[in-house]
Amino acid sequence: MSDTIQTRHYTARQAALLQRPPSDIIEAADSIVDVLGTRDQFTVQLNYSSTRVYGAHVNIIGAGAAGRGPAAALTAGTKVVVLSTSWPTTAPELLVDLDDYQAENSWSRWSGEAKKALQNAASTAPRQTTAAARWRVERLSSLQAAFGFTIQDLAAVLDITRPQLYKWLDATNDIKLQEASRARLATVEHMAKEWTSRSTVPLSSVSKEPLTAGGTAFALLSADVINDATVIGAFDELVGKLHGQPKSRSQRLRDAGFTRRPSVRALPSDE
Amino acid sequence: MTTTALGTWRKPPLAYVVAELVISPYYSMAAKVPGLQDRLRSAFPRTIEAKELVIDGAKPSAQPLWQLMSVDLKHGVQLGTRSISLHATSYVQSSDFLGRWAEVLDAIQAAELGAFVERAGLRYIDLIVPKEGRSPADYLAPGLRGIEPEGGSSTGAMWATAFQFDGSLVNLRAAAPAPQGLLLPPEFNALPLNKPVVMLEAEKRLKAEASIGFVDTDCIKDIAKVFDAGELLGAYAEMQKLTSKTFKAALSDIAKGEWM
Repeated sequence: MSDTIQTRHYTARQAALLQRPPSDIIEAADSIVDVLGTRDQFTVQLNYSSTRVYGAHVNIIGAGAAGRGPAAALTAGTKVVVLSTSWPTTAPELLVDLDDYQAENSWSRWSGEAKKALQNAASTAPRQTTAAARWRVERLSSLQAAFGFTIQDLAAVLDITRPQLYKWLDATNDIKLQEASRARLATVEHMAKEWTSRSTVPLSSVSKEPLTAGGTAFALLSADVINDATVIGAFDELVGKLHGQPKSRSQRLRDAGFTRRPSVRALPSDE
Repeated sequence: MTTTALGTWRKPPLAYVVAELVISPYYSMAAKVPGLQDRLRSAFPRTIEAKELVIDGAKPSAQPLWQLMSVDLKHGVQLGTRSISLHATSYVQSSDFLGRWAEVLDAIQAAELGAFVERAGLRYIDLIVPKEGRSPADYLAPGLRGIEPEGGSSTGAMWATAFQFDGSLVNLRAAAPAPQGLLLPPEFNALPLNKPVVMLEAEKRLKAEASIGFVDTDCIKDIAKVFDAGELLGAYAEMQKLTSKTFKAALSDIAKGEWM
């Protein structure tokens, strides 16, 4: 008996994973070797960007000294220039669009770039969200609705840091959850479902109440490993406590048939 | 041996889940596979190249298939010229499965397939492995058990119906007992994934010539639109609710007591 499902179409072959090398960079490196063929051994370090110039202050000085002019085109219309090959242990630096770079002094370049950045910020369309990111945010919102925890507490329950949780809550942030995070999120969701099947009151109102067996529901939920049975037992105890609590004024009014008058500013979805 | 169990129920009967998009024939899929593979590689690094025989009219033709599998062989994506699907034999709960499906949908969106989606499908296979002294039929709602003439005992019984919901159709097929030797429902092509606990138990019973059963719940929805990941995920969330509702309606109190 095999551990895996045997299908009729099963024709397993070791498929070669497609490894696409960063050919543009490799080509650039090769061309530098051609240019510097007569020199000693050296290390090539590519500071390469299609939009920005790196290492400005250091490399501009060496531009006229050891540079050999344009060495290779990384991509159409982009010039690559070897600026400095001063000694073997120093890497030659590549700058993009050198002519533009040299034409202006640093202040005018800075102001020009700042202006461009501001224009881009004003004209850039809102960042795209993915279905997975929206789904993740939706799941977290459901958790918040069930638990009513603060960001700090929810992060503790999900076993992540607060900044990480902010990233998770950002629908424009296309992050891939690790297996451990997926499992934790699913377990916490299961616990939230168990709570909402018992009470409509957010768990936060009683999550830090001491339990008879010691500890709190919050502590159980933020433990390294969540023990489903223990947490569910704690929920049952807390629900019993909630029922035993005296009703608040608003609950008594609601029970007596008083309803909240709809606000003029209320959104249609509020009703 | 694997110890995978599917779902958050106490003793989940779930054995296999598939989310599938049926697309209009897409003959240049081979050109899109490298991009899709790159996007899905972190979650599905293993690749199997296969062929499917498409019988369309008189002459069957072989079409390529790519099966991208997770390291633990519990999830797999199948890319074909007529469908794209996510298969799982590991299922924590629906939100987790749909989260994984959303990532596959995003990869398809990013690869700019522009495929025309004819239909969306979500299929759950649950296996009935009865406890000692019980029969598979005990796990089905009384309305699905059929008749038993005096002195006779059923060696195979299947019940099927289609339920129309608003915009979706749920096909429910329950076999209890399943025809002798049948582990998975007919017309079901599984990927070579790791078997979950319930499937191994069912296999053991079949070897011992004891009876098992299955509940095959398949929700389909006509889409007839060009691929849109967000829209499709919304449709799947709705389809999951319908599938779950239909499946629960097919269970007896014994099944609910033992499994949930």
